[in-house]
Amino acid sequence: MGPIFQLSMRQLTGKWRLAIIILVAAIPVAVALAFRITGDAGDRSANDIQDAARVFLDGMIVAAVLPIVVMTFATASFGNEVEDGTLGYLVLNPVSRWSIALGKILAPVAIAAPVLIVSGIAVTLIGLDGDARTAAAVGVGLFAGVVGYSVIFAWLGLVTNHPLGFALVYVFLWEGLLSSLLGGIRYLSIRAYTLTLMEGIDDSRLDAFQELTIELPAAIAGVVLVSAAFYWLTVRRLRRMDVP
Amino acid sequence: MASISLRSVSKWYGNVVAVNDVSLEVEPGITGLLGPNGAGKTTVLHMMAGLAGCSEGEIEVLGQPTRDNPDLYRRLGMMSEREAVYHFYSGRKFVELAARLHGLADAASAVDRAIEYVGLSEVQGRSLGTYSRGMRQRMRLAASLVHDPEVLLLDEPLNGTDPRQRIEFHDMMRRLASEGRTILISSHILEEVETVADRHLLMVSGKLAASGDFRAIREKLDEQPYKVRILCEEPRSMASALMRLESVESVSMDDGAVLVLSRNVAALQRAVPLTAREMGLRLLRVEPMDESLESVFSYVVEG
Amino acid sequence: MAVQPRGEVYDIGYRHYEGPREGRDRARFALWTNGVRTALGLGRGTRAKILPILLFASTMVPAAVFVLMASLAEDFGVSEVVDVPGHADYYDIVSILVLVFSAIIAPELLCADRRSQVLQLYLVRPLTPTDYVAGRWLAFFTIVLALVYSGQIVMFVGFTFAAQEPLDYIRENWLDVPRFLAAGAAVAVFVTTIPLAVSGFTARRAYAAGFVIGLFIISTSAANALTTCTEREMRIENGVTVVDRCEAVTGRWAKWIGLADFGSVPSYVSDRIFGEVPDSSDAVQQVNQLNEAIPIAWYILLTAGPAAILLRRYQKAAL
Repeated sequence: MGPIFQLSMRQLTGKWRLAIIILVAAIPVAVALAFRITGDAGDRSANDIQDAARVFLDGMIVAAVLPIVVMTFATASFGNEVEDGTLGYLVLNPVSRWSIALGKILAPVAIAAPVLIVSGIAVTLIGLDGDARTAAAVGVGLFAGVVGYSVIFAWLGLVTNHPLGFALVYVFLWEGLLSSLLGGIRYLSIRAYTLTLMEGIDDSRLDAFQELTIELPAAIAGVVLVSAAFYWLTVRRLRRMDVP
Repeated sequence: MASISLRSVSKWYGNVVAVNDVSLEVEPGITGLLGPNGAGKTTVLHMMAGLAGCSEGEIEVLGQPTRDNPDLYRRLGMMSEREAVYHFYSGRKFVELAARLHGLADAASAVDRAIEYVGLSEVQGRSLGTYSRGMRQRMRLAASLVHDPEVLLLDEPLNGTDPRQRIEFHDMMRRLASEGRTILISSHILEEVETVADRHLLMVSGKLAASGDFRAIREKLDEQPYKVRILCEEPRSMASALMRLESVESVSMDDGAVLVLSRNVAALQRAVPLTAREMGLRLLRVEPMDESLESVFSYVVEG
Repeated sequence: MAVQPRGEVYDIGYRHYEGPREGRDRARFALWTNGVRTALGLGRGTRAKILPILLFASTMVPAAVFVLMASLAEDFGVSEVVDVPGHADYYDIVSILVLVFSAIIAPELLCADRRSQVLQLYLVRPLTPTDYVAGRWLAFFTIVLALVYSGQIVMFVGFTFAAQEPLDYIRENWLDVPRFLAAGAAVAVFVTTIPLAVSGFTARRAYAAGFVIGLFIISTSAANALTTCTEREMRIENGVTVVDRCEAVTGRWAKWIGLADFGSVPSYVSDRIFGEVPDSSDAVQQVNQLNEAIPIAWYILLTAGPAAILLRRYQKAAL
């Protein structure tokens, strides 16, 4: 797995690409800061904090920056190899297919997770008056979200030539539009898992997402099962596909 | 025992048949896999390397199945036709990646040896993006033999090489083969492999058309009756004139056309227009009836 | 006497092309057709067509819903009282949808050629880099235009049949047709240009698409967060909520910050063609406090700017 992880890190990071995602992740922090500076100086009510959690944490980070950053890198992880015809260099080796898939999934996690977690915690401290527990809740939630999305999107990169198109359909149609119409879809939504984990760890500040969340055990099981399922699908695809 | 064996292997994509009921065996030494573009050579090599599954039939390399069998790659090396590389890596890093993925105990010296083998030690530190095409091909070859495989599959390795590089490559192949390896080299250009390979496999439109020593294939082809359909003015007098030719085996009439069976195609090709001219007849159409055989023929005889 | 060097070239039966040579316009046309076919996945497998079909379906849904609402309103006899969404609202919704899809599909037209380094092959034809970029742009523009127009046509026909007196409806509303044609062009220019310009800077489709989607979604959510009203005075007039005063968090800067809501930029132009003032979000309401020429100028800057950058990029790359 080591060499494949290192190779993927090298493929996915570039000066420009890193600069752009850091910039993107900094936007929510900048907005939260602007709020803080221009807003009323006095203590904020619980209501204000809930509003802020909805606008910054859900609206900007969990529903926008998180999926977009992860899909850009995770779909490219296998997608670039397939597009260039370099996948052969990886599979023609006595390396278990599980570790090829693991290296390819962990690279986007390693790029996106630190950036997103720093951004999320900064927003929590600045915009939500959060304490250590809030920060931990946001960190854990975002990490779970990054992992879940990475596994799904890495698999997409292996099965279709339009991974990004389908990733967008999943995020915006399925998790965004359809899950607000049909509540049950939340049980199959990384966004709901992420928000539920945040709320479950710190329900004093982060109980703002009522209709977007599910039960905490279901969310934990969901993250684990979805990640495991798509990891398995990725390996199965690696075994069965015709490598170009 | 043969290193590679295919038993009635077929492969289709949707309703396109890429490989059609191919059975063959490859033994240690150098074997050339020849055939025009689109004959199914790459598909066959990919199936041998386990990169693609076959729709029907069985493939074994060194007595093992190739599909979903990563352990086989310890003994098998493959260089694909796709020339893409990780351009941001230096040549050495690229070979090193292969060595590390193979879990070689002494990766550094294996890398040294492979790079020296292809004669690129001096440029190994440069990034692959700056290499010429021939250098890139050689570095890719180094990566595919860094683990010292018993079986080496090379898909169009000579693409874009000049004659001097080709001679060097031939020497390299002979050295590798003399150590008891099995090397299969595909090419759509006959001269590229004619001199270096001990045996040849000839593929035409997805089928194995001929195999063995080249001279034997040529002789065999001469024995094959070859059918030609000729449309011309006054077909009956044309038929009787053709009957007199030595190269012609038999002549028959078919719906106003002359059907000629011959064992010496080259002679027939020269004789038909001459006969027509002597008789003052216009040839309207000369078509071979067995197209796949014709392409084998044009391949072997005309190169 | 020197020996005359002898040499001869034999005709070996090589067939020359003897048909007419049709020149630049034919080459441009070929580029255009090829662009349209690539974008729609024509001539490729079913899987290449899934996204274009999904796109078409998703632009038709709002049109169908609007027609349904209009006919229901007519059935219940409330069409005079209730404000049924019409041609202008359609563009507000569809411009975002089309933008998401053009972010995915537009890179197909430019990135693939750069990735496989065939740009030079185009340029050895009688085509200039400008021809190439223009051909790609026009191809994609055509698709977007066809897409937004077909929704509008469905709506116009639907509204006509839903009305009690179809002929009267046409007589009273025929002006909607030139309006939606003009507004559609404005929307299409916008959603065509930015994704193509971004695609000019990377050979990877995924990065181009991710950047465009990120740009629009994140700028929109940031702009709206920064223009949220902390205090609001509203009243209800004829069943419609009217905002009288909105004190935004960022105070007097809010109207400028609202411009960062890139997703709403095409509606500045399209809504004004319909004679309405856009009011889809907090950010847009803030922008409305600016001089009317500013959002229009912003639209022009955001289309002409990327277009110029894209042209310049290809002219330079070709040298």
